[in-house]
Amino acid sequence: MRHIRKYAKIFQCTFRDQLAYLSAFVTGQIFFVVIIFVFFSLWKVIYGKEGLIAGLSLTQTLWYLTFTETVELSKARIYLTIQNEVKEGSIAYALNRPYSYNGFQTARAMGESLVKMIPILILGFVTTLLFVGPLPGYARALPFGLVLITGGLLLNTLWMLNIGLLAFWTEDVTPFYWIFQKLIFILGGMFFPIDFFPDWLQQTARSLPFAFSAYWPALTMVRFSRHAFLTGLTGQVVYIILLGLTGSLLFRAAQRKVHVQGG
Amino acid sequence: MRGLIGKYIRFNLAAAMEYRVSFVIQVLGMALNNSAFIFFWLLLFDKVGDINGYGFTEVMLLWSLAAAGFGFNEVFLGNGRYLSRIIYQGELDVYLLQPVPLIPNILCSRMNVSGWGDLAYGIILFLLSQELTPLWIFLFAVSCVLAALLFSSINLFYHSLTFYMGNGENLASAAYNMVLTFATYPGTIFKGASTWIMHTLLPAALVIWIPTELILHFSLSRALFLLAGDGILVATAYLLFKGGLRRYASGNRMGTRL
Repeated sequence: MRHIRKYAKIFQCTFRDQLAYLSAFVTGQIFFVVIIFVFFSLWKVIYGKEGLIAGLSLTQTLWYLTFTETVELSKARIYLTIQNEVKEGSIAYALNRPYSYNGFQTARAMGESLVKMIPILILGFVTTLLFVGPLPGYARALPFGLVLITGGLLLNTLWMLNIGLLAFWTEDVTPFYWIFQKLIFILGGMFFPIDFFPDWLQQTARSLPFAFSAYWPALTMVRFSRHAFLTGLTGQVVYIILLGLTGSLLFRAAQRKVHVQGG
Repeated sequence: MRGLIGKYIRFNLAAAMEYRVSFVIQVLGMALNNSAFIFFWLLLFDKVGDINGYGFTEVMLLWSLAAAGFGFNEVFLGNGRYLSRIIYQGELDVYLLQPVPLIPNILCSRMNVSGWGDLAYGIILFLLSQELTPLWIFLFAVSCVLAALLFSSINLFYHSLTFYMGNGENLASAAYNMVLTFATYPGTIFKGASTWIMHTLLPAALVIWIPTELILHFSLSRALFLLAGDGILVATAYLLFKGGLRRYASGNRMGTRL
């Protein structure tokens, strides 16, 4: 319990810290509006006179993309923080502190991500509402969607923690991040719902960890069902545990590579 | 000036090669990163067929041109997107004091290594996905160089606003990214006022869409129209930078370029 309080405090401090930069963050989100506009233009042409594609309407698809983008744009890029700490050697100062390095980075990243998520959700709501109108069932799905969006952010944070820790072995981990990001974009259903994939790929893509960062949270919001929510939640819990474990193993292995010199 | 550019390329490449593993990882990583979009468009076209006259091959041409032009800019004119920082930190003095043309000196002095991945990806994608007639190869090569020049002009234009309005770094970065984003989607999906913006303030049309159309259906009058548009964009960026330079005040900052 004492441990949980410690990381909750770190989360709370970062949350409060990030609130101070909220206005600067919101004004920097013009790119989000542009992306929604591009998606709207593309999908409007694709839908043409079709009412539904793969069981989703244009309205549902655009709202779906707004939610997947929310997860993508809210994430705190901790792989860069970790990479810099490894490069500069300042990670040595973190090693003898009375907390787990992975736990500290995760709590901090979640504090930052959740502060970013709220304005992006609001901005996405207004923008998408203007383009395609309201999403049927939004209010009912929102509490469940928020749980899965938060779970998706935690999954992404753990991915980035694992990627950041690779800095102990390679000079620059950014290319690993790019590849991870593209796996979320395509296989995770961030650019379009997995329901649009060919049949042979759908089942596999739905079970991969990337889908639990983007597809399941967004699908729960646009086509709510208890089954979608529970599937999303179960998958997130499993992959969060797995990524947490690989993060611990990586950090343990990485610690053996640290050489601390006096000075 | 050719000597200056050549020397910058040699020095920047030698510096990048000092971290050879990192160089290879970044180049391969970027190429792999871009390849993901092939799957995106493959899956999309598999589901929906044609998008306002664009099929998979046409979108790959769009992508190969955008990636190669962007990569060319990042590799050979890679300092453009750091211009605001150079201005507001008073580091322009270092460039002003050197007896070489100012704008090429600033733009060429940095090479962004991952740009090699974009450049290689764009060229390979073109070679693998398009018809390799002499005319197409020629038009593709010229369009890549022009696209790079325009990407640089967009950087020069928006970052020069820092001379007038304080730190314009975020605006310039957003404009650069928006042009790139618009450029990688078929221009025919956009309608109304937005297309005007994409021909002027965020000129994705000049950088990628019109050159793509030219490769697909060449016409001399259209080529001349494009060159005139490119000329106006380059000249506007140049004039804005020159005007801004008159407002620049030295920070008396001591610095060294290594």
